[in-house]
Amino acid sequence: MEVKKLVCINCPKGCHLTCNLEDLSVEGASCEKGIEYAREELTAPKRNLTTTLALSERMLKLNGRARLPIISKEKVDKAKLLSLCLALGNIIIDKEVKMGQVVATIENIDFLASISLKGEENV
Amino acid sequence: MIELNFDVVVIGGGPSGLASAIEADKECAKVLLVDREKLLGGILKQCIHDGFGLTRYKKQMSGPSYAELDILALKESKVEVMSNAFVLKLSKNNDLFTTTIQTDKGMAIVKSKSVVVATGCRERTKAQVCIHGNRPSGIFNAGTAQNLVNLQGVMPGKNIVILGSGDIGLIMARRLTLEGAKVLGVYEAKATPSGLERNIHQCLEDFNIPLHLSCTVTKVIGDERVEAVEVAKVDERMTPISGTEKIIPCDTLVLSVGLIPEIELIKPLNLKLNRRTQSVEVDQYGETSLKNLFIAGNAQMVFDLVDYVSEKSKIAGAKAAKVALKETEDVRAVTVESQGDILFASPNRITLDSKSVKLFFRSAKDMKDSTLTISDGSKVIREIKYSSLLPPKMESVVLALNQIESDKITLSLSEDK
Amino acid sequence: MTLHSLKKKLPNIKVYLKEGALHLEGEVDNYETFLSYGKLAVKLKSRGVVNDLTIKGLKAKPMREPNVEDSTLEGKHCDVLIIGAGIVGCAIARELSKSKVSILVLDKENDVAVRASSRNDGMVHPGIDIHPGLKKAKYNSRGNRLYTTLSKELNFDFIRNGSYIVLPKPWMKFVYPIFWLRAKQNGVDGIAYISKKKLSKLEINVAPWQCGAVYTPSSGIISPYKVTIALAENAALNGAEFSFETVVRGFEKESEEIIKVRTNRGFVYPKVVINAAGVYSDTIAQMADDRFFSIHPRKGTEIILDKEASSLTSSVIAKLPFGDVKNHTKGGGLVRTIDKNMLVGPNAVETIEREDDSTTREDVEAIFEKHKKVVPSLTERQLITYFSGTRASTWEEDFIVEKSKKVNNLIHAAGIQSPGVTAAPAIAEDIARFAKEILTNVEMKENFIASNPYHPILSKLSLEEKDRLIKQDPSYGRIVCRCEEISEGEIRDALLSPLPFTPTLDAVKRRCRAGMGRCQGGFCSPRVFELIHELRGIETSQIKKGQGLFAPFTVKEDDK
Repeated sequence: MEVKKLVCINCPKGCHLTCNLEDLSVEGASCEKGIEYAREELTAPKRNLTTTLALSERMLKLNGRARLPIISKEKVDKAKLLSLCLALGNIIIDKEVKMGQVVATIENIDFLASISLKGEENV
Repeated sequence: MIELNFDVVVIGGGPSGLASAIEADKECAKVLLVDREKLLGGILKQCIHDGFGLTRYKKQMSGPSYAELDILALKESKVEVMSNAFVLKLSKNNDLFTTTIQTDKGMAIVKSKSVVVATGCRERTKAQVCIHGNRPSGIFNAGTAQNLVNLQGVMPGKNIVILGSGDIGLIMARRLTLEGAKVLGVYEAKATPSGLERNIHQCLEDFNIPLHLSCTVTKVIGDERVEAVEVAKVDERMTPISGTEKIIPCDTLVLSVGLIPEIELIKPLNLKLNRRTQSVEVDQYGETSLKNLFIAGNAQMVFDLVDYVSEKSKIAGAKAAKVALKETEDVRAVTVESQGDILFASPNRITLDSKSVKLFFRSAKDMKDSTLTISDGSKVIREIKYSSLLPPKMESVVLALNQIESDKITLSLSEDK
Repeated sequence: MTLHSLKKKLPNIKVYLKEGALHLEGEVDNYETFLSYGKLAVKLKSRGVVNDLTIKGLKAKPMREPNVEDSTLEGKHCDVLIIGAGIVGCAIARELSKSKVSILVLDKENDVAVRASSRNDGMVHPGIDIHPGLKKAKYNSRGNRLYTTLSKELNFDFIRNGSYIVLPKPWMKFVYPIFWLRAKQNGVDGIAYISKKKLSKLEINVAPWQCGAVYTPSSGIISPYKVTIALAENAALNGAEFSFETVVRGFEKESEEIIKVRTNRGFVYPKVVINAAGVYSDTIAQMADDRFFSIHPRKGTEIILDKEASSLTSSVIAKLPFGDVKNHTKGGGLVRTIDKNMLVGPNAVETIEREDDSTTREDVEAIFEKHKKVVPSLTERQLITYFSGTRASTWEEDFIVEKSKKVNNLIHAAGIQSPGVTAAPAIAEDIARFAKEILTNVEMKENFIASNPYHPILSKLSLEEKDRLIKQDPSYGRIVCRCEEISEGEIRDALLSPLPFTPTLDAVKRRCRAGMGRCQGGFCSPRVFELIHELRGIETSQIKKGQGLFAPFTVKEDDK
């Protein structure tokens, strides 16, 4: 029986999981999420992608920030992290943004703004 | 020069200061929040990775989002905010605190009944970990590198060696890789990693970045810019072992070698210090040995999760408001002592004015199957078993206070035989 | 010692006299032999020792040259060309700028005071430990006195906080008359013997074994890089020109006069050339075929402690360096700097490298050990950082301040090691005089501006003064360096200076101290980086920390 040991990354508990590679049964999880995580990790590992997008000069002056932090709406295929990040590098945001709004979509993956930014003076 | 009066002054606009100020306002105190930067949010502004808010909001969010929620709540409150404002001096005379502030509108002298210091931490420097050699450019503290990448969009380098497996170092290993750099390895002087397990996994293993334990960087080599570093194995006392040196070609060295609570502002007040936390002694509300002076967040001790920072800072803010608005009677306090394999425990004293208290502690080493014994004087009042304890992970214990008889509580941690 | 007897002591070595200087040529097996032969050769008391011995298997790195080649100086004529913008070169420039002469100062670094002038303890020495026969003694004595007026004119901080040489044995108090006599010979005022009892009251942190001390009240401290900058800016204000990242490659002479100077930025045509090139002053002399001395570099490391440690002493404390006096090194000690940090050191290590600013663990540990004996409460916990510098020592261990005996329009201010900072104003007076003698008929300016324009240093102002200043200019209210309380306005003032230095993070650090505090630039460097970009328009990928680029790439840049 082949087993794989994993540490769950969902929450600070960091449960030590033991997953049976044949029937994908999981031991050591204190919640459902842990079991889900272990199965996914072994078949199609996914991660959240957090990165930043460039802001235009205008937005920099208005908001005092040069970059907009973003987060993938859902976990993405682990193997795509680097290529997605590269593709996001070409985007420049030049308008108002609300926290949680979709600001980019690459390969059908939505990316949400982590913060709100104003697009006009006197808002 | 303006002179102002408030009930509570909160110094620092990061997650700790924000939580304290909002809570103090809820208690109907007149609150001033002072922050030295242009934008609120403190260090969270640059912590664009997720992992924040899981305990508080049951949601994984990034640092800036976590801060934004507090900033919105702050805007809804009556807290007055001074940004681009730097506190030069804090003093106490009779029962009033005087905070001297330099702002871009002039100087301000603020009097208040209580103060919450939420000034966060600074990073340990390379000299403080005995790195020698040349003085080229290309050496950065992890926090500084994080600021450059996430706030300015510039990269510190392309071929990077990271010293220190603390969470900031691990997070930056991933961040720099995602932005196209090659992280050649993470070196850690201790025999076990300093950061959370999940970060080892999702920052290093995910990207095949090797982790070298019991190794440190001893020298930097390079004329104008870093060209290489010298690494060496270390012994249990973290002293480099002669003969194990290796040269690693690279163009950047990132240091994640520890955080130091930023307490310079309150050092002149001669408070009781706590060498283990590198900060000052506090009770469960964060009150220092000086009445009505509170300290919260990373300035009090280095937390591992911002959710705990917010939780404890709310408590500090609420108490700071209460003591400012109403004279409180002197209440009996008991001291808290740590024994055995405890790195540090907080608070150092417990004011007996509530039903229970939440104690926090970090184990001094990796431990399996251990027992935490809590004694009231010589009487054991609680025993808790743990199957696994790791220094990077802060643990908490809720203790009922209604039966404390002596004036000393002792926390003792040891591995079961 | 005769030439003959010296040759006998140095077998297999070519030993000869040329134009009064003693030359050593050949190969030796190791560095120690190189050193001992050089020191032996001095005993001949020639004009100077030129030790060109090569060492088997050991070769110094070549001089670091700037990465610039252009013609910005092509065809430039000037009355005086000063090679080297350390404290000596800048003091000479300022002194000469009082006269109606055109001045050009060159330095291969990208700012003033990049090398030894920013890597010393900033002491204005009393001069008690210098042999009276040396030029060092004369220049130190005069220079020490000149600092009183100079500090007022250029408005830099200068305190005479005194210096204690602690005596380790009770009988040494009978040696005091020797100090007294030396003080008379070297023009040191106010020397006094402090008894054991008195010293224990005045300096509570001195070790209990102390047996009193020799006290010199004229000992003072300055910030050596700030003084160099003040001198340079004043020279520039009065018309002197500066060109950085400019290296001198050769001279063209005609009838023993330099007519043309080849640099990486074109040919310069000076009437007088002043050699103030520090560790490379013998290289410059060589280019003029006037090398009658050679430099053997000696590295020194200093440790900087937190301002918390400033209570250890308010003066300078050093143990009488009995053994070290023979080695021409200062014993070092604890120096409380003008900015209230504590410096511990320096040590002295002979090296073949002329531009070595590296530090070693062993050196730092040894320095702590040594000085803990004098001040036992010294602790590594207060360490902020450490730095090294290289002394430009000649074999005679003395200054060379003279007109060239061979080249009519060349003047040497060479081999200036400690007490170079103290001596600089006095050296400048003599060098300026020599230059004017060569030029003849030089008039003084009527409109010489002795002081630099006022630039506020917020941390020194009262609350009311700060308030008024901020209301006029809000940028002084925004703190950038929180450890040292440096505002955006002060950084802007530094970056908009008329001196054409390259705006690097280190240049800002030397001018404002931003980055010198306990976090060592951890918090402020990104903001200083931004300000350099905003105020001087330099692309972020081109901004340097010192000599190397700070953060050369933007995110997601493709591999080139």
